[in-house]
Amino acid sequence: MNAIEIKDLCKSYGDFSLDHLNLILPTGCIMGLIGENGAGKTTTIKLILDMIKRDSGQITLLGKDNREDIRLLKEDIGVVLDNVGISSCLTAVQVGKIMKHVFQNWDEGAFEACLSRLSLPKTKPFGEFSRGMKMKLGIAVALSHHPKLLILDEATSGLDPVVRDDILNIFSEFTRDETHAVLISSHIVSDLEKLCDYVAFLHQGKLLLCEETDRLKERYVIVHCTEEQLASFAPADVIGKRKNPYGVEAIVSGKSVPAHVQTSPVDIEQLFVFMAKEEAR
Amino acid sequence: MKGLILKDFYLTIRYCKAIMLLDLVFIAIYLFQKENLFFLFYPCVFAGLLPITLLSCDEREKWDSYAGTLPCTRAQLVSEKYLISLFGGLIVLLLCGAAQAFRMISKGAFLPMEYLGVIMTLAGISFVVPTVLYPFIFRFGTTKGRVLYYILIALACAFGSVFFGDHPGIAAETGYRNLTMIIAGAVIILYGMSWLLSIRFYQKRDL
Repeated sequence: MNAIEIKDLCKSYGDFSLDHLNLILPTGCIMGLIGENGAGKTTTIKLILDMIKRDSGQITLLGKDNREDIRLLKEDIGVVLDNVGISSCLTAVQVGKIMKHVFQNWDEGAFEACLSRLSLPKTKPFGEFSRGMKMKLGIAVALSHHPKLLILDEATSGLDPVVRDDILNIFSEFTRDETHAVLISSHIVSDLEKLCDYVAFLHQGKLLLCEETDRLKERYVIVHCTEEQLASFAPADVIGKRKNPYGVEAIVSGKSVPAHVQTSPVDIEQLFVFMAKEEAR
Repeated sequence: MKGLILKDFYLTIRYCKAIMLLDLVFIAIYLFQKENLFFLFYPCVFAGLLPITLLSCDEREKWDSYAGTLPCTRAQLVSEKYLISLFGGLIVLLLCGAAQAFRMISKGAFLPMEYLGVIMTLAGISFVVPTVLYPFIFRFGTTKGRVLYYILIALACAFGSVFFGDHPGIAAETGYRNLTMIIAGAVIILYGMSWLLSIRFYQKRDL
């Protein structure tokens, strides 16, 4: 079963439109939604959660249409938003008491364990937490009702590397259960590269690609060559190029590279930057 | 729903202490001054302010978006605020009613119909603000709603001055008493209608 299936999803605002988005996130996997600020990541997540109304398209979550009974579906979904959204005067203990009455499957023991594991103070108001602690509490809440799907909007942005690593480990552990899945959006591509089985590139409301992370790295390479050498490549194989004082740097399909051309492995961030710039051209 | 109410209970304790304290101060002043119902109107107006304050906090701290990710329907999110208003309004009404009864009894002039007229007026004042404001807030957010709220306070105070300010016994006069009963009754009915309208608006709102 797929955790998320999105077909031809469209949403238009005055100056922005999400254009016929198609995505599939299989269970047991982590998908990274990558895009610059304003690319449509949060809009996509809000549409998935039916927090905003779509113009057209279809969204299926855990095998069910997301508008059928979203309240019941959300029992199986843990969400962490960029701003978390917990009231600043509430302590972790109070949040636990509130969520106990919000989620049918709320597990007080699991919440306590999360608080201890993430070293979160129980009686300090949320407003006095650092950004990292706020995110951790959001994650503790998201994990303590035994969700099958985690949706995280910029959950690692603004965190120090140690906290980020802790949090990424938690997400990895979560998907060891084959029935679980994670959709995580970020513009810190290096985090997602380490963590994700799939990456989806969103740019100005359009999906540039959605692929398995390892396959992307196998498929593309960076070539360092002259403009004349690059001209010998089939245009369809060139994903993006950048001129520098020594010639040209380009991302191309690996199979089309002649042996004499100098290459280096591509990382997801480079791939995204090249594709986004090529798209904007 | 219980979780949402509990959350607002915590917020009320934290953010609305001043409002609650002011309510008690005004009621206490009413007990010891020359009879002027104005001192009972204020706590009722403040009661209407309490849920608006909570909604502002929700919006400022992005709780409204977060609540949209929780397994709660939009109808539950709206209804919880109406219930908080109802609880808050009834508690203040109870306190004001007790103060009014105390005054009438201590003067040896407890007139049931006059008492009922005052209570209905206070009920009308307690619920008129959320009745009118909530649909706007659930449709447009608290910023625009607050502007409307202050306009309503000014209107309510003007109404109070004209009808009761210098005439403490005015509620006993049959014509006015009937009028206030009708207005208060209408507000209570409109409160229910406003509840349904807010749910309808909030269903369509982007979170």
